[in-house]
Amino acid sequence: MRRNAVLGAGATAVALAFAFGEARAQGYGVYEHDGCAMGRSGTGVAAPCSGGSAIYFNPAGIVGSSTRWNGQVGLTMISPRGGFTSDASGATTDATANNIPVPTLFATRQLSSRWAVGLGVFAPYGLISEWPDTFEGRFLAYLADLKAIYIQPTVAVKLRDNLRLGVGFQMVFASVELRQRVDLSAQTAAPGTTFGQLGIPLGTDFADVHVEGSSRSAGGQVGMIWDATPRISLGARYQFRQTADIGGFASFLQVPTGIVLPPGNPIAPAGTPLDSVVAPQFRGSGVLISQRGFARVPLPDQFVVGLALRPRTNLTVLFDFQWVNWDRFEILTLSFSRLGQRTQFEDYNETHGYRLGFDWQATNRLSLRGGTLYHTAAAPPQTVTPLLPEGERHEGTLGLGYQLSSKLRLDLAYQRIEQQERRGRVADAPRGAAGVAANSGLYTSTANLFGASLAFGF
Amino acid sequence: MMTRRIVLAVLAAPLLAACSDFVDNEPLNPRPLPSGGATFVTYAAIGTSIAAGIQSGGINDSTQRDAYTYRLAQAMGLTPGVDWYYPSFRSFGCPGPFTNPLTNQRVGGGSATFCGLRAQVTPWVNNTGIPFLRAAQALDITAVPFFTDTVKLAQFITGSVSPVSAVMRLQPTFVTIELGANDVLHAATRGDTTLLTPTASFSASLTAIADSMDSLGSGPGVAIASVPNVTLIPHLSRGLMLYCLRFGCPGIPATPPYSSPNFLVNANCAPNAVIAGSKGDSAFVAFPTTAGLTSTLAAGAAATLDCVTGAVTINVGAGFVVPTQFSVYVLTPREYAAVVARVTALNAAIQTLATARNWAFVDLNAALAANAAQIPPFPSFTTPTTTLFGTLFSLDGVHPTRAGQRILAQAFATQINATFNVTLPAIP
Repeated sequence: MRRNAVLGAGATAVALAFAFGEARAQGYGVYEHDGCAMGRSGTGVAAPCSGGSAIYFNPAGIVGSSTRWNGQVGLTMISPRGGFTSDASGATTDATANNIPVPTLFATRQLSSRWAVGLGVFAPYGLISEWPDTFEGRFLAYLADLKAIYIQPTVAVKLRDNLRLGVGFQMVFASVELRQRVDLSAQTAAPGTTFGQLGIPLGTDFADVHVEGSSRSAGGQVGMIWDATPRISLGARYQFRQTADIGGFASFLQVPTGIVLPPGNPIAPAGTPLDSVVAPQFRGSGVLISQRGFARVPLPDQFVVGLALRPRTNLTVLFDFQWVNWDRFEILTLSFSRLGQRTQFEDYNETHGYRLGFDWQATNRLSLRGGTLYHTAAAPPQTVTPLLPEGERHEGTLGLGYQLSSKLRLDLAYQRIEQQERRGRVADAPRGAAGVAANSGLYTSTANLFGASLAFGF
Repeated sequence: MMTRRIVLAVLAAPLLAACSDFVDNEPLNPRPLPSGGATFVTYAAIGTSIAAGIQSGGINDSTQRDAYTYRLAQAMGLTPGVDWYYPSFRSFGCPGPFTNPLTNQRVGGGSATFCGLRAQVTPWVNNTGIPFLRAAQALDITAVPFFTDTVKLAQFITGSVSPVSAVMRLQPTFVTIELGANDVLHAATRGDTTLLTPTASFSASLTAIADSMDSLGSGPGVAIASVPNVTLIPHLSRGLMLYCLRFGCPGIPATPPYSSPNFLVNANCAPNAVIAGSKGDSAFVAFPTTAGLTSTLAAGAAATLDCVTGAVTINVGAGFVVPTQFSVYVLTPREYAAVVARVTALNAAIQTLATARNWAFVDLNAALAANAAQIPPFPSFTTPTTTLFGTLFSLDGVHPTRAGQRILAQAFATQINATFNVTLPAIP
């Protein structure tokens, strides 16, 4: 029984989705943990919003608040939509429509005029990539579901009146779920013979694979903010690279084919139900039984640098540049106790993100925000699959903040994501140019995000 | 006011900026239209062994490339292996074709049960032609439990999916249908008229197939072939030939070994022009019988033939040639009449359906008649590895050679051009 088809998506899903969670800025990496920041397209490394979300956007920003306590609870609803259009047929398969809630919680305390501590609990990923189980790409994946919770204690210090430093220590708890089908035509029926050569059509489901994995890892980030002038601030943040040890389980369910082997086949007497021939793989000493899996995943480091300009006292214009070292995600090795080991070539590219936002205090109570951002793609042309069909993105945001009272502010935001229509594949492929040649259609992806947060300070 | 306008413009900018025009969208790469036109973007074939590419009792990639379906696809501007797929058999075939049917030798030395299996999995299969397929089996492979080979080859060709189901999945824009030969052939070659498919059930199968085509929205263009008059194939020799080879007739001299006095041919095998009322014109001897008679007489043994009762005696012992592919058989005049009548009735049903559904009707019998001079009236036993059955029929006397397949393909192309106002080129 050929194993590569089973291992391939398992390896990629568990690792990819997890890795993107760490990157926080691609796939459905949620950068929008605060209605205020979201409204201005996630800018703020130089001037984070108040309320505690600086824990996420720049740890240095938690010190210097005029109130002793700051906190924030928020929820972002992500509604991704997408599809795949086949070159050959022109038919489009729509990804299953999901709406993903991503909650956040931040709290900070000013210990003194120069020191502050905080704690953030946030979920940079509420990712679901889901397709109908009849989708032609189901043999790579038809469901990938990632949940990642970050707990980040943070400390910051004001070294000078205009210079702040912060450090956050991250504990990451993540879980990943993947489902895929296995194509019988690609499996070995007898030495030198595949089932496809017995006439089993391409795309004959015979097994449903369910992979679940989880990881606990630790990391951190450092940040700094320099208020060069009363109108100009510079900020920077660096996220340390990590290595995540992902442990999981794969379970397999036989899918009936209903095929009866004809005379002249080399593997069983004529009239033998094919399902009975493959059934032993799902029990006893077979390879398609529940088993453990393990992957060591390199998670990229990233660097964000930004600028905040205040041309007017009630207007802040922000610009952030983000670099993510996706080059680390070149080769992925996954090991299963029965299926063995598989090396998957991802060959990802570093990404660059450019964010521009503004925050306008229109009235004493009302702030209006907006922004735009552009991100390059991490996946090379040969690695665009149903698991994570990502591409370069252009996004726009709108938001508002309303001071409900002197201590409470409501922030609302809307974000629209337009992703590049990207050529990709729905089947396994070799590395490099051959993988590009396997691209057989066009992935499309858009998303609407709605964010709301309540920030308090007292 | 100016501040407000500026602010509104700035507020609007992000939404405008999120327009998809600002990302570098990659293109869809749809398949280019074939040179024959949009009508033929997805061409699928439903058919029998002729569509599949059987020759000389076997099938391999070489014979599959000779099939009229393959040639039509090329004429349509499709590229086999790129945008048109057939279930290529690897190695010597499944089984390999005869190289000498008198000695049962096959390509590569394989047996009749050898199967080299499929060369590779294809994304889909456009040519669903299945050997031995009867019309009802196009809808359900198991509908007629007659030939296990149908089920075997169906597995290799369509994965045991019925041809109609396999074709429907392609959402074809054009379909050729060539059914009916096996609904009459086995009666002709086995001498059993109970094997003739009733006209009513054949019509019902065709109607169900037609309804399936029509369910495809705008519906594909369809060209449907007539049922060939299977009594004209060189696998069957008229009884009059053996009479004349025994006794001599105008234009057919007595010829050894048939002229041996050991060959007792009933006068009822004479041509009607020689002996009025005789049945030699309407009695047929199948190739295994002809070969057996030849072998028996060549060895100096005795043989008999009666063209009314169908009784025949030959020596089947060691050293005597009786090709095993088909039974030893004589098609009596009564059986011949029944077969011809059924072919006529089935073709009437096909033509009626084609007219009602605006399909092209391809008269294969007209094509055969136009080339009748190339169909030998008797096997050439001196050239058993080449022109045993002439140049248009392969070494089983049933399935066309590459030259014969060209005639069929041209018949299809000509009628498709006339019916659908397209200009498929001549088949080379």
